Order: sequence, then C-alpha cells, then structure tokens
Amino acid sequence: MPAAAATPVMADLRLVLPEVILALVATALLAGGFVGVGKNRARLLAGMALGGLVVAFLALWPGYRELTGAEGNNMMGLFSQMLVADRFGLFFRATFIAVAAMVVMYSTRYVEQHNLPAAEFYSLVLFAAVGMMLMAGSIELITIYIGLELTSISSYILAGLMRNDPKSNEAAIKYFLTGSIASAVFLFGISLLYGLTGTTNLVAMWMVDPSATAVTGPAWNVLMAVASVFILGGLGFKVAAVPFHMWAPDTYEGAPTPVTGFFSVGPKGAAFAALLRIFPLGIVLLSTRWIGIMTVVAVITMTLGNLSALLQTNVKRMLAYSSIAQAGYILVGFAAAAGGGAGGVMFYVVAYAFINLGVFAVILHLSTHGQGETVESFNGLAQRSPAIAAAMVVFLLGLIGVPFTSGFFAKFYIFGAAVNAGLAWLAVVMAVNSAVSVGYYYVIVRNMYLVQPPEGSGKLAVTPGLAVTITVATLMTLALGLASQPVIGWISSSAGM
Amino acid sequence: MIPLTFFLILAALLFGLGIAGALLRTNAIRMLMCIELMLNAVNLNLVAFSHYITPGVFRGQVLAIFVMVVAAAEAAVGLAIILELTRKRKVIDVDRTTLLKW
Repeated sequence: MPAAAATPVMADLRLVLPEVILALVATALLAGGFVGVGKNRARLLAGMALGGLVVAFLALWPGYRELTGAEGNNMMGLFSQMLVADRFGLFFRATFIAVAAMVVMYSTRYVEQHNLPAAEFYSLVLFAAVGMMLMAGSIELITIYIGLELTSISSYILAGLMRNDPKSNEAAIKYFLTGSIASAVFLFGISLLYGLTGTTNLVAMWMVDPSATAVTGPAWNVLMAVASVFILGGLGFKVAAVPFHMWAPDTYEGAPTPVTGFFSVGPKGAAFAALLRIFPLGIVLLSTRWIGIMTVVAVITMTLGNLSALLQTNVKRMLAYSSIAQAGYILVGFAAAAGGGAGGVMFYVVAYAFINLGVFAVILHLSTHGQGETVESFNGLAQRSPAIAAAMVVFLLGLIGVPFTSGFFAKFYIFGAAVNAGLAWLAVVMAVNSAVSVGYYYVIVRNMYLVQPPEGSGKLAVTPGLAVTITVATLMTLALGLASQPVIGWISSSAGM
Repeated sequence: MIPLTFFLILAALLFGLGIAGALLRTNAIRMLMCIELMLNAVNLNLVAFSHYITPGVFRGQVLAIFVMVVAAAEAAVGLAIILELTRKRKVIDVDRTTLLKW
C-alpha cells in the first residue's frame, strides 16, 4: 500500500480526468435537451456523447504513462485514498468507456425511431459509465458504493425510458424495487465490515489483525461471514447470479433494446470489478469459506441460466438467461481465485462485453426494420444481410467458446484457473454447460442460414452506427481470440493484486 | 453509557423489519418505505460503529451522510417510476404488473 502522502490535488485530478470529462459532458448533454428543437438534435447529442467518450478515452493516457513505468500492480492513492490509479482499474475503466461508446453508436437509430428523449438517454449512459469507472477505480467502500448507486440509479431510469410502452415501465419498477433492496443489503454488509475492521479502506482492511479488533474470536468469524454473504448478495444481484437473478429476464425483455445490451455488459462488468476488489482484499481472511459459496453459486447460476435459455422464444429473454449463464462461468473464476482466476475474470469481462454488444447490435439492426423480438425474426438473415449474419455467427461462436474467438480464451483461462485450484470437476461442469448452450445459440444460426426469409423481404439496409459497432465488435472478438497477448500481459501484471 | 450491542440489535431489528416488508408487501410505495427502513438501519449501524470503534475518525458518519443523499436520489427516481405505473395502468401493486413473467 502506498504511503498516504498528501499529493497535490491537480496531480490527482490528472489521473481521474476521464471521469471528470464524462461527468461534465453528461451534464452538458442534459442541458442540451433544452436547446433547439431541430430533428438533427438527437444526432448532435449522440455525436457530443461520442466525442466526450473519445476524449475521455484519450485522457486515460496520463494514467497509462504513469503506470507502465511502475512494476506490478502499483496502487497510487488519489484524494486521500478515495480513489486509486492502478493497472487493474485502468483496464476496467478503458473497457467501460469502450462499452459506453459502442452503446451510444448502436443506439442512435433506435433513439430516433422510438422517440426516446435523446438528451436524457445519452446523458444517463454516460453517468452510468462514470459510476462503473468509479467502482473499478477504487479500493474504498464509500466510493464503490457511490459508484454502484450512480450506475444503478441511471440504469433504473434507462430501463423505464420508453414511457409509452407499459413493458418498459414494468421493467423499470421491477429493476428499481429489487435493485434498491439489493443495494441496501450490500450496504448492510459494508456497515458490518466497517464495524469489524474499523476502516472502509480495503487495503487497510486487508492488513487488519483480527485479534486486535473490537470483536474477536468466534463472534468475529460469524459476523464476518454474515458481512460477506450480504456483500456477495448485493453484488450478486447486480451480476444476476442465482438466486438473485429473478429481475434479469423481466428487465432485459422490457427495457429498450440498446439499454438491455448495456445492462448485460456494463453494470455487470462493474460489479465483477468490485467483487474482485472486495473479496480478495476485504474478506481475505475468510477465503476458504467464500470460495465454497462461490462454487455453489457458480454451478447453479450457469446450469439454471442455460437450461432456462433453452426454453425461450423471445430473443431478449433468451439473451437474459444466456447472460446469467455467462455470469456463472465468470463466477467460476472467483471460486478458482487460488489458481489465478482473477485474471480469467478480467479477460472474460472484456471479451464478453464486445461479443454481447455485437449480438445486441445485430438485434438492433433487425429492430430498425421492425423485427428482432423473436428467434423467427432471424429467418433467412443470411440472404437479407449476409455480412451481418456472418458477424452474428462469430459472436455466437464466441459465446459458446469456440477457438479463434475471444470467448475461447476467456473460458480457457477460467478453465485453467479451476484446474490449478484443484477444482477440475468445476471445469467439467463448465464444459458441459457450454455444450448445452449450443442448443439455443444454434437455433439462431439455423434460422439465419437454413430457413427461407419471409415472402417478399428484400435486403435490409444497415445504418452507419450499427455497421461500425458490429465491425468493431467482430474485430475485437477475433483480435482477442487470435492475438490476445498484449491484453493478457496487461492482465497478468495487474491481477496479482 | 449504552453499550454498542444495543445499537446493533436495534439496527438488526430495523433491517429485518425492512427486508421482511420489502419482500412480503406488494404495494410499491410500502416497499419503498421498507427499503428506506433498511437504509436507516445501515445508518444507525454506521454511526454506532463510528462512535464506539473508531472514535474521532468520522468514516462511518461520512458514509451515513452519503447513504442519506443517495437514498433521497433513489426515492426520487423510484417515486417517478411508481407514478408512471399508476398513471398508465391504474395499479400500484407490483404483483399485478404481469405483462412480463415475474
């Protein structure tokens, strides 16, 4: 842990510039909602949001420069340890900016078509991204909580943004009520953790000697177990791990499609980042116990997700269950923490983010032509938009975990970690589950290639935003599958926290 | 002086009451109130811990203030969502919102 030296505020500010820029742009976007009424305003706002994200991404550079010189996962405390700059955080912050940029790009047409309030939409996506970045860039429970709530509250509004669709409203209310309960549970866990260790800083917590705290002995163990179950429950809700997954299918189905895509990778990835921070540091002393819990949760989550996905006909609902199953695979990485699972989790989150945003971009492509709700809407897509159908195949192969895609390496690293940690049976369960998932992903491929398109349907025109998103997602899926070395290098130097 | 345990028991009871209500009630407004109850139990915990375990260091109080601010924001958003529900569908019970399988 770095010394709590008082660094000049400006020097610290330089390292959180991306967050500052995004928060300012998000605020400006809200004001932009009042200015002008031209029909191009929505596009202008989207351009502004995208510009802000690009600038924010470039503003990661000083942090990158600072950290590449350092050895290992050197943590630089900022603002009296309220935030940290480290390789781990930089990795997730860059990922989240990319996620938000892709969401802005693929949403533009949808926002226009469905008359969503553009200013609010883009602004909330940016605010949620700031929250996610705060969660990943902190080792302080207070900041993690603020980040979590910033993301969650923005998400509740995003889910209900389609005001003339009762389904959207229903998605929002279910997400809001269950999400708030989960936040409160998470917070109660934090309060216990604080009481037990006397600090809210995770690194300080890590160094606490349990025999020197206010509560000692068996009581300490029991309360610590309660605290970790509450924290796991609260964050488990955000990643939709069984048994806290009930909200996901409803919210995913009811929310506007671009928002669903965002939910499935953004807040979820941030919750995984927070789990990676909190569990190895804050609750390290109970490691043997929480690994048992994680194993059980992982097995149930992936199995239930996959089996339920097999039964779905609504694409968004199917992807909701698919994303529950994917969360189960990621949780295996936590159970296998002893075998280097943390690195596997990091790679999985970034690989999955690009793949799933690609899938949702394809669904949005269908939705611009009034389809995309059911698996039948993929019928004959190979003839109607051959390139996009091919990209969809790449994404689905990635989700299954076929070699030469990023999904393969993501699963491979987690597999390896599980075997290293002596949990080979868990790796087998994961492999069986991947095989089961072929069942529902194949339905889409079959409909695209083997089923004739509906009568009288011609080629489908693709919008520029979607074309760019799908291209980027495809390239990233293949690049991370074929040349993952630089990313792996960065991860292995940062996961050893 | 009142021992710390008393505060913790009170907070645990409040939290239990809140979570039971939030899970068992179907009226959205009541659920929101129960969530507020849970958050206040957390605040009680934080302030008590701060006072007894780290006297002079105000981490717990600071977190409690943040919790209040966030709870207010959450309630504002939540009430807006509930208002939209009652306006469009004339219901306030969440078990009657069944367009999507619950």
